[in-house]
Amino acid sequence: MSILDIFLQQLINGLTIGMIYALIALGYTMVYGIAQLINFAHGEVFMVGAYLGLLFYTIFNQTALASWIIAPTFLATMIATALLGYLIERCAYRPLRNAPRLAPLIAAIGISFLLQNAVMLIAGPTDKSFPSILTIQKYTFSHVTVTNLQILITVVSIGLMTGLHFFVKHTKIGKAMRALADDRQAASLMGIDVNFVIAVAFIIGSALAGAGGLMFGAYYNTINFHDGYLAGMKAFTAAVLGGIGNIPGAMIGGVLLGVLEGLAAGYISSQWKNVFAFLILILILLFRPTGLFGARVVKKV
Amino acid sequence: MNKESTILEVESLYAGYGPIEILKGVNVKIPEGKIVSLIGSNGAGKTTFLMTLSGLVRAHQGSILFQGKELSKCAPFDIVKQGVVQVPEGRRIFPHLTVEENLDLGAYTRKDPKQEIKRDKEEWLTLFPILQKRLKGQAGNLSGGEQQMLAMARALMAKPKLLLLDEPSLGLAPKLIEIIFNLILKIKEKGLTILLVEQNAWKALELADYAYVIESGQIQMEGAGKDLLVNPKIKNAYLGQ
Repeated sequence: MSILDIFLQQLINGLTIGMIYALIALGYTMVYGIAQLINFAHGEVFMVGAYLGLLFYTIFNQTALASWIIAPTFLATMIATALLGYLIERCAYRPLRNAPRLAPLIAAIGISFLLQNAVMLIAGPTDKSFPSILTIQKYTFSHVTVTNLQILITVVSIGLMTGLHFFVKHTKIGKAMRALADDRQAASLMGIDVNFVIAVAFIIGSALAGAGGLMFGAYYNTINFHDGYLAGMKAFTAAVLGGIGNIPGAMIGGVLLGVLEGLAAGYISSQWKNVFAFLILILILLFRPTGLFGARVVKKV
Repeated sequence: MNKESTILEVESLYAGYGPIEILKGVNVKIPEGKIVSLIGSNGAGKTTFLMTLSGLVRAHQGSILFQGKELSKCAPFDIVKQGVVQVPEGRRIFPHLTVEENLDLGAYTRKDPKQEIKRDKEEWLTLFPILQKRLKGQAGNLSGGEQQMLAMARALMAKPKLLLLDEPSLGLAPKLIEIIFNLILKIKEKGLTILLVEQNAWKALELADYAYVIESGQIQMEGAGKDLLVNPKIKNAYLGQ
């Protein structure tokens, strides 16, 4: 393999995982933009999404749905994690809405432990093997390989992100979200139900994380109850990289982080890829805490 | 003031932040279709009063009757739905949204058909021609006076029966203040009731059909706008003569 082949291969691999980071990062960034809260339980929602994805896949595989299993599995997983996100918001964060900022942060850590340990108790502490949700086909061009699963992940992610963009930009609730990000008090003076809009942000963010979890499992073929921690931290890094609170920033930050990680894995060693991811977080926080697009982008959420 | 025409009746209202009581038994009556001004110095409780009417500050005691309905326990969005809408102090437009999106958000609670909302938007925009030209522009780029107009137009889009205006003249050049106060009169002519809170007491009294003076969370004086204008006490304390 030539240097260029390694570059292209790692670019493709990085793009794929970057899409998943971007999906999770959107949940962090939306909730931060609207509720000024870093939801550190979000990585766990992603992890639960992977387990639920496995559960739904296994169930649907034994029914008549088996021949076109992908769509219902995605749908069921996303609905279930959306519900989980809503419950977390309703039970853990809403009662703390006017509490000092440290309180919801500690609640987030509590929810994190709760979800991790609940999954460990229910599904067991060992790795679970995750089937690839479609029959893998490889397309090779010179030495560079793309799988149909990678294409699926990319297409689904771009589709979801486009949908989110449309939602935030053009729907009534999307406008209310942006208004809330600008000025919460003025938004409630316009008759916007703040609790409802924050709940919607959690629901959408969690649904996206659920889709991410499902694709993560299918891509790596193995899941574990502490997968949420690392993926959550990476996605958080991606959100900070793009400027926390900034939706397009989170999309670009996720993809960028995935690609940088992929290249580090290809050229240096895959052992080092996490080091690079968090090095980026440290550097961004040191030199550009508002992220690449944070302070400049016009439409923030 | 006879009872039938009273749109809002506030009785011995106590409210504040946590244990700190700002309003200490406020009584205010607002007749329908009139401009009522509330004047007072800094920290007298004017903004707290409006925020309590809008439901963002909780009433500890007392009642707020709007068209016979008790508002003091209602959520802020419910109060907007009832028809009590505020233009907050400092404009508080949504700077990252376009002018048009700001206006659309004003109509957030309305269930009317889109056509009707659009018609209302066009009608109100005839009062604010400057906004018409900048509909697609970002609201944060408007000047202070234009932002004040946008904040008013945004509130009007909610189809209010009672419009609460908090310091609409704050920080504006004299010429613009004149324009804003003219607009307030025009809004009144469209049949709305207006509660105007101002530090610019002269202007507020000139415009008002009826006025209240608030000090330390209590109404100290009330009367017709022109009577208060010539009242020696008021002249001394608020009009600087």
